[in-house]
Amino acid sequence: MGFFIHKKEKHIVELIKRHVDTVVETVYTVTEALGLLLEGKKDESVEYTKKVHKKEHEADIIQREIDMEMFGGAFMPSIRENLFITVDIVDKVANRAEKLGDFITLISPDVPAEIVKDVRKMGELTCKCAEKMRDAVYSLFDSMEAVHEDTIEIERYETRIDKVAWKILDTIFKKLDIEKFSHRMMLREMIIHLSSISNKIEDASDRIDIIALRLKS
Amino acid sequence: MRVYTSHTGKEFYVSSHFRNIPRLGANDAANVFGTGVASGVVKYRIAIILTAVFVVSGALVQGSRGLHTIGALAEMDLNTAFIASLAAALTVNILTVLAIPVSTSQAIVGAICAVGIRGSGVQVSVLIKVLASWVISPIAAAFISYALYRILGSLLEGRISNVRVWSIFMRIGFYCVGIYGAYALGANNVANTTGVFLSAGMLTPAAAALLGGVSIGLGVLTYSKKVMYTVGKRITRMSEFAALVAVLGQDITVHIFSWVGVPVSTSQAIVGAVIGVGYVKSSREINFDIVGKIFLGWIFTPTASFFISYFALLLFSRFF
Repeated sequence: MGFFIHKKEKHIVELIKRHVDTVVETVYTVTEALGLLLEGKKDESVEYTKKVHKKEHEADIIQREIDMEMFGGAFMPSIRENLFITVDIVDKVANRAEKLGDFITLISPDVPAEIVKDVRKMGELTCKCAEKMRDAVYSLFDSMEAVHEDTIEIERYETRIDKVAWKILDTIFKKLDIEKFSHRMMLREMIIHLSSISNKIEDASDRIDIIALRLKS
Repeated sequence: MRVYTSHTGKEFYVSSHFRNIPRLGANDAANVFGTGVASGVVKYRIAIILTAVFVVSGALVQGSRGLHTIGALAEMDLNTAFIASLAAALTVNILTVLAIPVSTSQAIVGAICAVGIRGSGVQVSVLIKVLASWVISPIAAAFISYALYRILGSLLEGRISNVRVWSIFMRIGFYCVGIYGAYALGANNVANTTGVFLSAGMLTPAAAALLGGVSIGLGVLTYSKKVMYTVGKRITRMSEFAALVAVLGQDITVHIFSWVGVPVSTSQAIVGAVIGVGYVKSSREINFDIVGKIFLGWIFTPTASFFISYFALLLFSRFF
């Protein structure tokens, strides 16, 4: 029986790693779509967002498989519960990426040149933040010692992203001469969608920290 | 007082007595595998089979010391042995209904003391040894668990490399601790079940160990499900590692007292062990209500069984 559980746990670990990989790919894809929007290639950008949907759907399928396998009795109960919650939050990162993709598809706002550099920077930092989330999830199953370092890195990236987001919003509302208020609000919404990805990554990292602490207590 | 020595009398007493014992086994075994079962690590069916097998092994290999201690408390014949065991069973049932913490070890000793006082007296030196063990056992469990938590915690620090290794370690831990606990339980508590019949000269030490072990095993197989989940869930409010250490602390304590030859309460030992583990984190973790309940158990259980046994003996001598 122990052997079967051992095998099942190994399979679940593979699924969890595959899931986080797919979620990170979703984040990468949406930032690429955003990059195209910033370059003014709206049609190509909209085309790219279809890939975001596809990746997000893939992540959902893997998550369902993980749920089914996990409730078959793998891992210790407290860890099982926390892993389940962690996977769910990681999946929400892909959902947030998808929302940004939807926004790009439906609204495709004109992005003023004054904020392009910072928005691109925000996208890059979000990708790095997502990569650290992947590292943290991998570390849970490879080397626990690295988990805390990864989650601290995630926090640092999230703080930097927030600062850049605030700078962009400040520019949009105080410095730029944008004719329509609705345009300002659309740009604001785009920034909020983008920063919500790293906020969710931070939520996931908190859960990962809880698992690591649980093993130490 | 007449003494029944006929074959039919023996059969009647033994069969009546063994109908009461299984509930005793169910209660005590809950402390052994309860945590593993309630946390979903050990399957209930596997837990009860392992408990039954290792309780019998413990009783056979190391149960004789406790049996002799209980047997030496007071001189008994078949009638008084039966009344003592019946009074102990009644006490356990009544106090459980009244939600007062109860220990079968203490119930049987209280009942035997009544037999001794109405008969040829109680062996004071044996009684002092038993009383001292009751007081010491939860305290010892607290110290052992505290030390275990510190030692195992520092030994494992940095060695559990990931979630899977931790999961495997805990799984193996729950099985090993459960098996050891069942063995220690058999070695220690078998005296509660058949010690009185050894004193009455009805059973040989080996037969008493075998019958007692089998009856506790039967109790585990038949009555333990609800108790196991209830007790287990109460303990698993702690982290799994802390729960594992607490159960191990209880097992070691109970095993030590089976070397000493005194049956002790596993329920009180586990409470002591939980306090010991809790103290590692902070003294605020100690629930003084539970400590108070242990004291209540020390006083209520032997006193109640003493009086039930005493009045039962009084009635018996009036009518027979």
